[in-house]
Amino acid sequence: MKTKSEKKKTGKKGKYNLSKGAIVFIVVMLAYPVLHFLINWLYINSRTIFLSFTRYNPAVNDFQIPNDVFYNYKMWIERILFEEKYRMILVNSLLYFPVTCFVTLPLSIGCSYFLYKGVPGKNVFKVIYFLPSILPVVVLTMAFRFGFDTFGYVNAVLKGLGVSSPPVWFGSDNLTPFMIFAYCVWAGIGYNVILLAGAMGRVPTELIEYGKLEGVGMGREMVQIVIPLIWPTVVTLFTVGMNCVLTIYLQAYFLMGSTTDGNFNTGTIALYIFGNYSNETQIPQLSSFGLLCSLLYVPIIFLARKIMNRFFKEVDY
Amino acid sequence: MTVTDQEKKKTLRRANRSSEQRSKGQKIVLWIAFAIFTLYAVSLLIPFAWLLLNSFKTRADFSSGSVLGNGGLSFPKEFDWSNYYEALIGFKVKVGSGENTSQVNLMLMFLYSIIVTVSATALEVFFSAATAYVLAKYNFPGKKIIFGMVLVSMVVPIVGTLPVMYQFMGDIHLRNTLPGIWFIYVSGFGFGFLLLNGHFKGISWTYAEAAQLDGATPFGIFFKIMLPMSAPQLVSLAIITAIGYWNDYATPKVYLPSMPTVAVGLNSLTIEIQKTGDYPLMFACMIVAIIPILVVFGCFQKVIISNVVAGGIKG
Repeated sequence: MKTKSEKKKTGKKGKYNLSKGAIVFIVVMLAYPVLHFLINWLYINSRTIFLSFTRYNPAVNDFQIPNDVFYNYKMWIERILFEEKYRMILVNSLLYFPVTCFVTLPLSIGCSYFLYKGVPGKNVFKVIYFLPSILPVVVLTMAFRFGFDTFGYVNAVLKGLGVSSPPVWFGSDNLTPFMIFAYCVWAGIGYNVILLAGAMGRVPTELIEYGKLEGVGMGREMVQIVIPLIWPTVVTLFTVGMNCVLTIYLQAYFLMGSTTDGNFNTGTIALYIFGNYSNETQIPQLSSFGLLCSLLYVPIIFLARKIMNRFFKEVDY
Repeated sequence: MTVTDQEKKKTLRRANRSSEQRSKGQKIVLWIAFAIFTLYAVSLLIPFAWLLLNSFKTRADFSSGSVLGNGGLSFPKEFDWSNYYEALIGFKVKVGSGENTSQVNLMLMFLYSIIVTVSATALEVFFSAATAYVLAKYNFPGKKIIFGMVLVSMVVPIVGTLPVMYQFMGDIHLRNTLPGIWFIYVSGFGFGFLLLNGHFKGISWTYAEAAQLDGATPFGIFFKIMLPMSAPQLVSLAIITAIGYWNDYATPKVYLPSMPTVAVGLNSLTIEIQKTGDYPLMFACMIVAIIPILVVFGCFQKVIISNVVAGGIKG
């Protein structure tokens, strides 16, 4: 390692001053990660983009660029605008945005604030709330679903309360999507709470104490002191929540009995792609669908992040 | 002691007094929060308690009319452990197709999970450490480009690449092979890189200089000095990574169907058992499947939570 003055002396030619052994070491150590990036990210994404402009030709068993290069994209726009099935997939996926960002996240902020304020048994709660994050989704979704089954404890409680015919929780167009959203909130709060409580734990106690001396109550303390100080974490979770629109599928997949049909208005963008990935003739359609959604939605994510970063100035503490 | 220090202490003392004298309103709010938190915690635990309770029932006991009446909240008439034997060894699902069909039980799925998780975790931790160390300690042409690769691979989400990746893995004959799943999992550019890059930056280079004087090569410095010095960080990363791989469903389901891990196989098991209506057996399978994770979580709870917090805050 060189000091700044040494670096100046060596000039541009000897800027790096690496021995042969060091060069070999760097090349060997970085060979796999760089190769992996070039194949797994650059090649796969480039090929996805390329294939999204092609169509499968069974006559030659290959993908060919049609006369209308944007055929697949136009097809998807038409499908989304005029076909109920695909419109529902888009609407369902988009609904995960308010669910994660405007239901789960605010609830998580509230929970973590009270944990931070020292609710009795806070350490036990933290451990229990973290459990959904470490358990396999398949187990968690099944455990949730069985509770609402005909033989489950939820219906039994409802019957005990006098509800003679409890609803079919997983098996109706109206209720099933909301049950999946309910599951996402139920299982999603814990992870957010751990992250937010961690961020709140770093808020300087002096600030809180000065606030108290000024007569600041809990509500103002949370909104005007704590949230602005943990804002970068809130923005990160908000962005991750927005990403769900494009990536969520396992919850619906398992809660609907491992089907990719998107029954009862449960289909999502990622579930549709996951359900058809092994059909190689579908690659152009699936690639263009994924890319179209990314093209339309990713800029919104970045814009939202930019706007949110303007709300509060990040401070070091 | 300076005047400002004294003032600070006084203010803090006054503040502490005021916090001790938490208003009645605040105390009530905290107890209401406690009640809500307890309800939520119970809602998270009840499904598993329910699964556990019913996993000891016989099929007849579970199918009796009382279950529909009380939602399975009754104690088993007798604790039947045979479901657990059946879950681990007896019940099997078919995997593969044609001549490559085989029968797999939960025990074998555990073995597959261990093989996949241990091997992929070891590789991911090693490559994360290698990338993080080289970028933290060496200055070389193209370093910024590699940093750019790390950022791009983490930040830019592109949806719809799964079919292309699936086809590519088939083309290079890595689909349904262990090296194939390593290739999908191991990148060296993920969360592990972020965690270890900061750590390696903080290690003094004087250790390396001393070793160089004794004739150590860059490889020797990395393997004999830097990696042993980073053992706690590597172990933390390994635990977090291993939990992720153990629980992952989609990757082994798509790229390694002939070796179903617990997450993948459990889904197949539950589908098969549901057809027979033997719910207690299914519940036993689910309980058995989560025991290893719960044991790991119990042992390394603090490490896991603190690393998740660190990753989240940095993210």
